[in-house]
Amino acid sequence: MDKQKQAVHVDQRFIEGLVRHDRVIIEEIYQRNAGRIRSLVVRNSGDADDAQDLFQEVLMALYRQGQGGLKLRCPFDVFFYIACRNRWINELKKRGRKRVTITDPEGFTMQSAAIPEVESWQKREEKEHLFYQKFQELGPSCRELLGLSWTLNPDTGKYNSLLEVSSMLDRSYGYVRKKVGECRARFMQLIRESGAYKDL
Amino acid sequence: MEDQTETYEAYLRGELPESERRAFEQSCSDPARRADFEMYQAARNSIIHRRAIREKEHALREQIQPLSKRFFASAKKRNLWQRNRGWLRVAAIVALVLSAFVIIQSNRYDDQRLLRIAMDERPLSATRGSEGLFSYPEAMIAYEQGRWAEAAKALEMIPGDDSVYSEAQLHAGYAWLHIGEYQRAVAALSRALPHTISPDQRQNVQWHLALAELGESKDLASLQPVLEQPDHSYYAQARKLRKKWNSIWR
Repeated sequence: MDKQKQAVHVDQRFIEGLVRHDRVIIEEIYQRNAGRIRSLVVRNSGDADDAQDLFQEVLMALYRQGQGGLKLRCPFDVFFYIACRNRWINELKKRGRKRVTITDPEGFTMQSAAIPEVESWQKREEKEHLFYQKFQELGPSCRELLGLSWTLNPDTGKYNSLLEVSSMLDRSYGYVRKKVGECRARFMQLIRESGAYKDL
Repeated sequence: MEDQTETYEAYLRGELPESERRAFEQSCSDPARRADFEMYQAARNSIIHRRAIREKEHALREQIQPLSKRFFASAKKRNLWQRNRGWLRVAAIVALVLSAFVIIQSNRYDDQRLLRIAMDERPLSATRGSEGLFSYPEAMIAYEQGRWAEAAKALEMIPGDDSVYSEAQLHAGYAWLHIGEYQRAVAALSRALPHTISPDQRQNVQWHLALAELGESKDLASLQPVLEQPDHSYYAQARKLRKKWNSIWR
């Protein structure tokens, strides 16, 4: 067993439960964290709606990363709180707050050891969000073509070939090949041109 | 950098012929090329992953909606107050300041305004005939039109033996009071006082005389003759005036 596997925290059960859509686990996540996150947001220039959105978005981000194999090395509640806190700071900055000083809810001890882990997770999440955002900026036909070409064919266990894509769309192979090439190049161009990518 | 996404895609699918694959791997020793390839790989894999879990993600969103409502609902009831708390505080402070300003303004009287408010211009029930040299009716027209100085001067010239003498002096006193000529008002009202024909009229003249003396001397002792008589018709007004005269807002 390697070191990384040994370091997985017992609270990994929350990530696994989330990935499984386990109703009991998800409810426990809400029970343990909703009050604290609400208090964090309400004490820091937000309201209950903001708290609800923040909670949901961080939970969905954890779900996506959990699907990708996220391993937790600190208590879930701490991880979740820091993730919400950092995201809320970014949100306040987006709303034009020049200086953001966060007041943490009483009775909650920040575990600074967990911060780098959350930050590296968050960076990954931000990067993936950027990719998704840029993909959405492509036209619908580009999204469809790239989506089909990046879909696994259950019969072959391989990604659809351009020939298969052209037959799905009832288009000529030449057209699909040219168009897919253009769409890939456009997708990459959008990412390269984004200021956010350079920061990540 | 020249677009290489077709090569990247073919490499990732394992579709590059051996020689091209080696050449590509060699080209990745260039850090810029490697970084570009890694970015393509990360973006591509991210989209593939996101699309693969798209439906599950949607299902989870649906699943957590009721929980979100349940756990954040109680707080939402306070939403209106929370959302507007800052503005409501500002509005309350502004309302408070405005109320204070209105209260202060409504209590801010200069002496003349204060005395004018306290006036009660009731005519004496004397016969309005005029046998004098100066026309009493014309003087009263000037008085009613607010030409105070003109009216007062004309009224003062009504001779002492005229039947409207006391009424003329009383109105001359009122007119001088209107324009803050307190000394002249005191003189006119003092002339009217001995000629009053009823207790009510006497108290009316006493009151205006007190006002004129107060205006002249700025001494509240002028009100004393009225304040000493609780059954005086102007007793309550005298107390009110004393209070306003001493008000801290003035």
